[in-house]
Amino acid sequence: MGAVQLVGINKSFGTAKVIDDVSLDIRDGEFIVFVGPSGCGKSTLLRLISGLEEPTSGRVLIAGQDVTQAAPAERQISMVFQSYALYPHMSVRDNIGFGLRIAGFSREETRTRVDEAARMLELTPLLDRRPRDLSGGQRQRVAIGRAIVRSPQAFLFDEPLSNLDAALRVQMRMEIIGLHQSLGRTMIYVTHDQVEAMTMADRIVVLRSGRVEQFDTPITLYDRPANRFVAGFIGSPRMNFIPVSLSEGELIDAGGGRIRVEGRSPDEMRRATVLGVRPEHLTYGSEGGVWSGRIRVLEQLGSDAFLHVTVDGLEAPLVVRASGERRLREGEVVSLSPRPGTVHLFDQDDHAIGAPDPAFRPSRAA
Amino acid sequence: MRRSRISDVALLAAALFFTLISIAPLLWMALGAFKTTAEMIAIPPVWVPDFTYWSNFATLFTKYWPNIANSLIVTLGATLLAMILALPAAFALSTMRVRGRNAIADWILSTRMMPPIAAAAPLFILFSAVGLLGSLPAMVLAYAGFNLPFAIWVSMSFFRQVPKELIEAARLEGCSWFQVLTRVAIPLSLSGIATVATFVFIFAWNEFMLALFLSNRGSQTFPVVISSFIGTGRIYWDYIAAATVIQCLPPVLFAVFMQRHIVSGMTMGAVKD
Repeated sequence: MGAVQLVGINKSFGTAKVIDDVSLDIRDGEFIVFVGPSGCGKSTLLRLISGLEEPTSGRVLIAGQDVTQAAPAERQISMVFQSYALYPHMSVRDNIGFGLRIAGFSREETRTRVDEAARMLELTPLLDRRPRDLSGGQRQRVAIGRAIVRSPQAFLFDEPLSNLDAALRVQMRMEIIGLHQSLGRTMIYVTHDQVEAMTMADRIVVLRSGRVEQFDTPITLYDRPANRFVAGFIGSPRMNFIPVSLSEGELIDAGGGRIRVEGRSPDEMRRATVLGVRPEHLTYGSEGGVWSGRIRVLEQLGSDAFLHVTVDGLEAPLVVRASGERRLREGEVVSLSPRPGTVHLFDQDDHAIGAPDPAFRPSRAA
Repeated sequence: MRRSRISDVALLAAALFFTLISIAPLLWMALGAFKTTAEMIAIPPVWVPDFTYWSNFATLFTKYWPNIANSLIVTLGATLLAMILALPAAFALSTMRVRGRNAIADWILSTRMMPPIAAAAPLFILFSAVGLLGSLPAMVLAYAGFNLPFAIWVSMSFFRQVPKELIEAARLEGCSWFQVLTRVAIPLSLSGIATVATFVFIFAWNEFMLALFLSNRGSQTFPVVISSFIGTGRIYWDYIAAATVIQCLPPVLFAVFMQRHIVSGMTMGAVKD
C-alpha cells in the first residue's frame, strides 16, 4: 500500500547539488526517520517525496506507482510541517476538514471524519476555536489531525516537534508513536534530534551532504556504524576518536595506550588509522587503565556524569559516561580502558573496519 | 519629568501648527462650498459662512449628477478590473516558480515609469479605431491598465508575507492554484488587498488628464466638469469649492469602509511566532 521507493534521486538548486544519487526502499507501514546535520538535504528529500520539489533526475514511487511527475495532491500523502501551517482564518474543524472539502466530500462525511480524528487526538472541545487560541502542542495536534483525516498512503513529518518545549516534545513523540501503531501507515519523519530518531524509527536514514551515509535500524547504527560520520553522529555524547599509531597482531597502539582488539583479520588491523570508543564503553578507575589523564570538566546530570579527561598526546579530551558517579572531582587523575569488544576501527577513508553491515547500502554505487 | 512634559507640549504645539497650515486650504475650500462667489472673494473675508446655504451643492447635483455617476462607474469598474487582473498576477509572480519571473515583474513595473499622459494620444487613436472612444469602458480599461503595475507590485509584497507552508499545505491537500489563491492567499491578505484597492480607487477617482482626452460630453467624469468651472470670462469659485468637497468625499468614505477590513493579527497562530 504505502511503500515508498526512491530510485537514483538527484536534486540541484542551480549549481548546488543538494541530493546526490539517493536510492531508498521504504516498506509499507514502516516508520522511517531521516536524520543528519543542518543542510544535509533531509527536508529536501522529504519535499521530493511530497512532490513540493521536483527531482533533477531519478524516480519516486509510492505504492508501486511512479509519481515523479505527479502533483503533490495526486500522491495520496499528508505532510505535517514544522510550523504547523494551520490556516489562521479557519476554525480547527475547518482546518482539519479543509482537504476533504476540496476533495469533494459531502458536509456530513467531512463532519463525521473530522469528529473521528478530533476524538482520536482529543481535540473535540477545541473544534470551534481558531489556531491563534491554541497552545503549540494543540496546534501540532490539529496539524496531525488534518493529516490523518484524509487516510493517506504515507505521512510525512518535517521536524514537527522542534517548535515545542522539551516536556511537550516527549509527550508528542509518544503520541506519534501511538498513532503509527494504531494506523499502521508508512511514516517518514525528518529530525535533527537523534533521540527522536532512535526512539521512533523502525529504520533510520543518516544523511550527509545529500548522500545516504547509512540506512538501517537504530540499534545497528549504534552498534555497527558504517563510517566515522555515523559513529560520531549517533550517540550522545559522541564517540571518542583516537588516532592509531601502530598495530601488531591483535594489539593496537592508540593515544599512547595499547589495546587488544579481537575479531579482526591482520589485514583489517593494518588498515586501521582511527580507533573509536563510545563514552559509555569506557571504564574508569584510579590506576591500571589503557589511558590516564586529568578530569578537566565534569558535567553532572545526576543519573550520569560526563567526565572530560585530558590525556597526554591526544588533541581532544576523552569523554566518559560515568553512571551514578558522585565521588570524582575536576582535576583528579583517572585511568581509562575500553570495555572488551566495544572498540570500533576506521580506515584512512573513515570507513568502519570489520563491522559487517548487511543492510547498509551506500547512496553512491561503487 | 517636568522637562519631558514641556518638550511634549512644545512638540504638540508644533504638530498642531503644521497640521493647521496643511489643512487650511482644505478648510477654506470646505467653508467656500457654503458661500456665493461674492462672499468667496469679499474683503475682509467671510470667515464663517451661512451653513444653511446649500444652493451650490443642489445645483451641482441636479445639473451634473450624470457626471458624478460616470466618475463612480469608471472608478469602481477600474478598481474591480485592476484587482481581478492584479491579484492572480501578483500571486503567480510571488509564489509560483515561473522562469524569468523577476524580469516579468520588472517589466510590469517599468510600464509605470511612463507618465500616463504620454499614452494619451496612442490610447485616443486605439480607442477611436475600435469604436470605444468617449465610452465609459474605454476609461475603465485605461485606468485599470495604468493601475495594474502598482496593484501587482503592492499585492506581491502582501502575498509574499503569506507563509510558504500554508500554500504548500493547501497544494498537498488538493487545492488548485486558483483555490490556493481564493481560499488561502486572499483571505490572509485582505488588509493588503484593501489597501491596494483604496489606492487604485483614489487614483481612478481623481484622474483628470486621460479623462479629458478620452471622454466626450456624455462620458465626462466629475474632475473634467470641475475644470470647466474656470471659464475664459469667469471663474465659478463657489461651484469649484462645493464640487471639490463632493470630489473629496468618496475616497474618504471608501478608505473608511476599507479600514474595517484591515484586521490586524490575521495571520496570528498560522505559524510558530
